[in-house]
Amino acid sequence: MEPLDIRPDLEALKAAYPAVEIAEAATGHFDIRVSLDQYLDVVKFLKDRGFNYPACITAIDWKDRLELVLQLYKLVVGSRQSPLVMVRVDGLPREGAEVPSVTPLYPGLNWHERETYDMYGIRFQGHPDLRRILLPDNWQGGHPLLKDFEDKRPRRPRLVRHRDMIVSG
Amino acid sequence: MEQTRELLINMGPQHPSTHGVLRVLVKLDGETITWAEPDIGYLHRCFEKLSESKTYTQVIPYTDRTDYLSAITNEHAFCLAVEKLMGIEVPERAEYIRVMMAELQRICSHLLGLGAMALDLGAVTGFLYAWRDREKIYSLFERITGGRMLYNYLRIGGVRNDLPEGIIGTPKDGRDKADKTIWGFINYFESYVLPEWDDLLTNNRIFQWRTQGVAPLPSEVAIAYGASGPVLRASGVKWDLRKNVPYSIYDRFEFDIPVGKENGDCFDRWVVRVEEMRQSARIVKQALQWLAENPGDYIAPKLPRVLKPPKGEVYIRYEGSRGEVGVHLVSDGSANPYKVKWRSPCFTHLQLLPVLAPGHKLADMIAIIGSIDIVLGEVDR
Amino acid sequence: MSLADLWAQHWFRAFVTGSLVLVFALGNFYITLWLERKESAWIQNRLGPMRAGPQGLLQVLADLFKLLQKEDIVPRNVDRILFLIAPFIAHIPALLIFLVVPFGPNMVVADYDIGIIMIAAVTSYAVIATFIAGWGSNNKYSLLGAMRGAAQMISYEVTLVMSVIGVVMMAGSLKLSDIVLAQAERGVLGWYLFPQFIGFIVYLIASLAELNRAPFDLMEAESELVAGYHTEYSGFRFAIFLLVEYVHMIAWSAIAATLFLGGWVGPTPADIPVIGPKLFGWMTGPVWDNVWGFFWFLFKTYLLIFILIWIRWTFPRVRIDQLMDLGWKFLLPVSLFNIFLTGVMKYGWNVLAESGSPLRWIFWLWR
Repeated sequence: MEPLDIRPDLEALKAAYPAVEIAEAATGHFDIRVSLDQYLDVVKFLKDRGFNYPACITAIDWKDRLELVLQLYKLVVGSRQSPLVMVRVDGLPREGAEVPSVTPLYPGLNWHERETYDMYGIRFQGHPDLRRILLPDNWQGGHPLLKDFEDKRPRRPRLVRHRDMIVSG
Repeated sequence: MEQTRELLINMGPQHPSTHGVLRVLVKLDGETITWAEPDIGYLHRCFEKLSESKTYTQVIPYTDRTDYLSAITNEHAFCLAVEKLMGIEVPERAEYIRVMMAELQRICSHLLGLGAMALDLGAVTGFLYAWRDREKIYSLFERITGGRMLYNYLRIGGVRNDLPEGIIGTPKDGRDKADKTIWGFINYFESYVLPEWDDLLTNNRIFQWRTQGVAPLPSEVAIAYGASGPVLRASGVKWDLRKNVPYSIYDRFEFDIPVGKENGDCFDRWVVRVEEMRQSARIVKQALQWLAENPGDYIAPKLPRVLKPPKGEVYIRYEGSRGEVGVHLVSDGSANPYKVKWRSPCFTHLQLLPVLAPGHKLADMIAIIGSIDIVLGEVDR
Repeated sequence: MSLADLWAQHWFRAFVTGSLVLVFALGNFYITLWLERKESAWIQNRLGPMRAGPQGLLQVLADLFKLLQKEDIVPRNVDRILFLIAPFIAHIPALLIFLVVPFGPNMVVADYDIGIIMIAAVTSYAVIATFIAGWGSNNKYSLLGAMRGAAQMISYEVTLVMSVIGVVMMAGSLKLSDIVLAQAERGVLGWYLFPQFIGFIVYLIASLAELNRAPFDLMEAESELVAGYHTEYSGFRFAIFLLVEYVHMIAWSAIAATLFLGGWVGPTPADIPVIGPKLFGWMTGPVWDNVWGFFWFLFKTYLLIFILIWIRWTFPRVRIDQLMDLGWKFLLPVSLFNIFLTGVMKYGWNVLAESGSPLRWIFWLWR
């Protein structure tokens, strides 16, 4: 089986959206950097080109900005080495970022987007049910995977193991 | 005017068959489910946040605890990610040991998954039979790794220690050595356990009533919802990352990908899992042959005490016991990972519950949860 | 007043026999519970209880004592009267069945002429207790369990009675002791198990459903409804539900043994050819008849209990709609067919028995 070639798709993408930057990473995947306003169009384009499998969506906190990373690949039965593409939207504000949701295209990303909202505070416009998912609904402490997150809840006293509690012999 | 009302019931988080602490809100019309909504997060242990403050080696024990029933495969996925990031060559012997362990772990995990599904359907005996055989794998793992459930056995670049003396055994080992040698277990498993599962449950008429035609999942829906592993294959998609995106040394082994029919139901998911255990046993046998023929003690390269991978990013797709485990690792060049994202198959599969459950009976809900085989540790991480 | 005079008094006889039945039921409850734990352990590669007493015989006592000690919790939102009264209503019909069961020759508390109808009538009350418990608990799981229970028990009641009618037709009586005696006349091969084999199988399945035992334990399906109608019960009230379940099982097995396996009828050591009469000739007489009758009755009952337990720990549970389909669409027609078959075959024998035609041997089993 020949490795699946996605270069034609990426070239077509480059032709259709000249603003996107496509680079092959040293670790084997393709980075597709897009601007926020082209994000949804690019994902739609990729979906039409056969990138049918939603692997994951997440974000990275670069301390001064957030970066949204969407991982997709082609699930073609009988293919081999289907490369992963990462659609990246850089430069999102660290507070109140708003991104169009891709859940209508890939229903499997529903919960992953919710988790990204939960952990990074990125709001997904058009998401059917954008609530916190892992943390409680009434959590007020912020978004924990941000680098400057600190737990503001009162500290519980550390349990001290007393020396005399250990029975000798 | 009097009219019927839907009954909203709260299944879990303390419920006998929600596999831990899953909470599902279910609306019932009589016994028929009209709406279901899983509520998760009761077992959230901040794995991803915690990893950012640990060194790469220190993260490995935490990966054990995501999907705690399939610890080796998680360690393997994480180690592969770091190795790919750093470009580390893994010794051949270590690769074989890893694959063998991962496949034994897959058998072990599927056994419990099937047993728990049997228990949910009311067949308590099936569960205890699964437990009996799982215990044998655990005894073997205890001798190899020192741990019974959470091993911390794989190291970045290799494995912690070589296989102990005599654990491989010979292909003639039978049932009496099932918990002493790996060959003994594999022979026992193939000749005794798998036929027993077929007799006890797969060919049981009541079991087939309960699972056939329940919650069919069309293949295109499965792909759109990001299903993977046995759930995807049961819907007739012949997709196994071990074959289609080979990692480690899986391209050296011969095994088949079992698939279900186009609209895979609970029964297909069951059959695919049973069949996968058979294929895993095949892989283990091939690995054992290689290990017996190629003795050696080079199992891990010399690496610095503190690993500092170069700046970069990697995403590993790994065929875990329950589906595609994705490890997204971002390194900023320091000793701690900048970001670890664990794409867990159970988390993704649980989204299917509101799709699959409506229109079925309350009792089917249990079969569906059992058949997508979730581990709440991995859902919540 | 002498003992014989006292025995002639109705109240005294009722008291003594009633107490004996109670003791019998509770004693067998104990043994059955132990047997269930041991047998499930044997099936599942376990040992079962081993510590309390030899082979864990005292384990049940310890468990019951533990339950007795527990706090009797009545949740705040329950319908208090119904909640409290349900276990007691539940255990009355279970015990009442034993009134008509012949334990041995002349060993029956009340040998009603309408014994089978009495059983059918009394057992129907069990569903009321179940529903009261489920409704009174004010818990959604309990209610679901109770609804399932009501649907299931009422449906299977019909099938159960229909499956027994074949036996009644063969014996020509509704009286249980008459049915046993009719089987005694026919010898071992004449037990109604053989001519009424369809009826026996239907009875076995239907009684499993009636008893709420796996694979039909839908109303307390642990993995679906937590514990079904007795989710909210704890302590000794829970123990009473447990008791009811097992006493019911014993009762149904006893009735099955009476109707299909010849009840107390069975060989005694004196029946052994050649050496029997010489060695065991002294084991005859009315007292010994009762002893052996009781022995065979218990033996057959426990054989059936063993089978019921075996089934429980082997099969998965069916679903509620499948259960209803099985009851109404399969078992009921089959039992009706059995009635038809019995009628035809009996008629055939009656017509052909005297004729000496070789065809008559087809009908011989239904003679």
